[in-house]
Amino acid sequence: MTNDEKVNILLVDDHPENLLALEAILENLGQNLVRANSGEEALKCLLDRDFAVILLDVQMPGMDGFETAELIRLRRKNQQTPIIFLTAFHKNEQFMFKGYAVGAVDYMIKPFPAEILKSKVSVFINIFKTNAQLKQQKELVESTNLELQNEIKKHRHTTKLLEIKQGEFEAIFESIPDAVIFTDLNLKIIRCNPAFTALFGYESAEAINQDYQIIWKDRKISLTTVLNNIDNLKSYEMGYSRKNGEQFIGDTINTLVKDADGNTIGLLGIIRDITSRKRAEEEIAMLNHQNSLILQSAGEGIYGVNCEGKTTFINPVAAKMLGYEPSELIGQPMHSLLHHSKADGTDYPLEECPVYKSLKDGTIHHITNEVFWRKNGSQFPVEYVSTPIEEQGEIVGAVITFKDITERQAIEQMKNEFIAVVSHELRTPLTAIHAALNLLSTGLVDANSQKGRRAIAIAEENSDRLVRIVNDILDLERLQSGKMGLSKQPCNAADLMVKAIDSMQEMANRSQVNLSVSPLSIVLNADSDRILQVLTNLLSNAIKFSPAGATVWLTVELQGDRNQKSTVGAGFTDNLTTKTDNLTQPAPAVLFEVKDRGRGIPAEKLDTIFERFHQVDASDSRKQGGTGLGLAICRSIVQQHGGEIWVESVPGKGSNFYFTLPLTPNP
Amino acid sequence: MTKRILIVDDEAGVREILQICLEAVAGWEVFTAASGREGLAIAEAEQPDAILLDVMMPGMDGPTTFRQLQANEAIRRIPTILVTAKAGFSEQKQLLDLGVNGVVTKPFTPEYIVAKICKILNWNL
Repeated sequence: MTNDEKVNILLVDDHPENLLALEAILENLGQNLVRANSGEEALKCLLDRDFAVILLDVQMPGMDGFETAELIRLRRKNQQTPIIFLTAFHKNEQFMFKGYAVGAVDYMIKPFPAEILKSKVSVFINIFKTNAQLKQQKELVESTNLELQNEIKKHRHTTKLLEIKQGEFEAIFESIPDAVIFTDLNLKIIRCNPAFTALFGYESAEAINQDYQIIWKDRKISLTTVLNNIDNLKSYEMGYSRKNGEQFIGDTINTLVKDADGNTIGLLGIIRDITSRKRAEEEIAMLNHQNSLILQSAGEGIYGVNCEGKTTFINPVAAKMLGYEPSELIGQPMHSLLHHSKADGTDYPLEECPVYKSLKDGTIHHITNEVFWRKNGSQFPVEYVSTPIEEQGEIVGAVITFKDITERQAIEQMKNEFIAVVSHELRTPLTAIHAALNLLSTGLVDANSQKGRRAIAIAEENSDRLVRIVNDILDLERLQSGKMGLSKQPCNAADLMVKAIDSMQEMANRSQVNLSVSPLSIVLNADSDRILQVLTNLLSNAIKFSPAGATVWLTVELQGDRNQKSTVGAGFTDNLTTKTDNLTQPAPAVLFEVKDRGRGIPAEKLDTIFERFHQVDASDSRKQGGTGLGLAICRSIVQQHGGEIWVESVPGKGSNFYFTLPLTPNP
Repeated sequence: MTKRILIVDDEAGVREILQICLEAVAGWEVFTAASGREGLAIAEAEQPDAILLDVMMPGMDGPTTFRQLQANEAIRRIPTILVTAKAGFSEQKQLLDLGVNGVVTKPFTPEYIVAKICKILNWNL
């Protein structure tokens, strides 16, 4: 209550004129005067409001002033309300005692001086006002106190919660397997956990107050880099350095630490070492890559089947050999696709299939004598290995590696044929020698008899032949295996031609064959002995197959002018066959030609004439002392010089043998 | 009665030495031919007691010559022995399966080949 506020003053009197008089006296106090004409009415007024003072007439009909005061005091609220009795009685101690006993604070005897009443009432007004203020203050203090107590309670609860949270945080922080670092705004480390120590090698005490930079060591990582990677708690990979300098890759989360008001107060880093995971991933990726490379690039066909015999994978080579796209074979039963029949076309029952056996009992099978069938219905000979795939002791499939052995079989057959031919070529002269010597040594024929001399001659001829064959075979073998190095040096084509003609002249004379040579002086870089061997070999063949009186020509020209060459072969345009003459822009080369007018070579023999033991007619070659290896040796020598050799021939008309030698020395 | 034998071989040296062997060891009368074709002609003309036929010959080889010989009524009963440089068992079996009387292998000694021919043909010297 403020001083300006009006207080209530209760005026109680049964005489309205008295009330009027009181009002007149108290009016200028400026308070709220409430009138009551009886004790009952006064009590009624007290129910509604508080009064600063009550002026109570003692003599009233019905309930008198004392009774009214007693009743007023019964109300707890009004026990302290000052009551001033107003009475017309003389001052009488007994009477006044009664008044004080019922709670009067004062007596005023009528008539009383107005100023005294006014000042007494004023005092009570002040007291009331002061009391009211005190009361208000007290209430305020009490409510404040209550609030404070509530606050303290709340605080205690919060503190307790905080302690629990702190405990939880510490437990997580200490035991989390990822390195955790807090820094302040200057990126100075303020806390780190044991996982950080384990990962980086810095003790907590070493790390605290260090710059965040220590986790990268010498690699400077700017704050911007760190801040740029703060992205909604998404992790990113980053390289780190341990105290000992070791590098590793860490999966990283950086996040800003904020206070309750949202101000950034530091940085939180969580780092997980993923080096081993990365390494494992890289290894797996590399293995995958390698495996697929191996599968893709393996020269052998490789496919896998599951335990039902259906394809689970197949490499491109395998699919190509079988004439399928890999996708056509995945999931297909392989036995019925490519292994359904044997080489002779009869059924191949699944139960007999080695792959089926691998799947059934885990055995490995290496097969070399079967065929696989292509998509187009053709077959090819294969070698394959069927190996079971086991997983935890259980057969889950099989891998089959195979190769097309058509070529190998062909080579094998060629080899066998060659051995047969060689053994025949060697055994034949040996048979003659062996039998001839035996006839002589056992005395079955006398060495001096005609038969004896014939036997000796046969032995001699055949041992010569054996020597030639063995030499040729060895020559050829060394030429073809590259063991016989060429000793190339500058030599003149004219010299070689003349030398070749000289050495063949005697044979030509015997056969009554004319030799015609047109030497040209061209300097070559070649092994002259070997080229001489080619020339004499070709000349010797030409002489052998020329009839008496015929001519054999040896010519040479600088290659590059093809017109000139076609003139050479002009007589054979009807049935001209060239072996390897397919150059359009020939490199500078020397072209030698040996031409005869012998019986020629049948067309079907032209392809094989340069092969070993492929004489046109072995019997008459042998009759001429040939070994069947001469042309094969010629071809090897020419090819080793980087040249080519071929023949053009028309049966009955003669043969032209050509060979080239490049003019620019081969590197 | 002196046995008459035909030798068919493209190799002059072998042919001639074989002839000397048969003449010197057994005293048989020997005809020679340098090819299968020539051999068939001589066989028909001379009707020898046996034919020694080389297997590996250019053009018409021994087995082909033998089949033609079998096809010719005039000469099909003449006993024929193949001479081969191939000594393998399976190769010899293959040759015997053609229906020839026997197979002899090269190289040979004079006495061995005569003894072998006699044994195959059940002849006595």
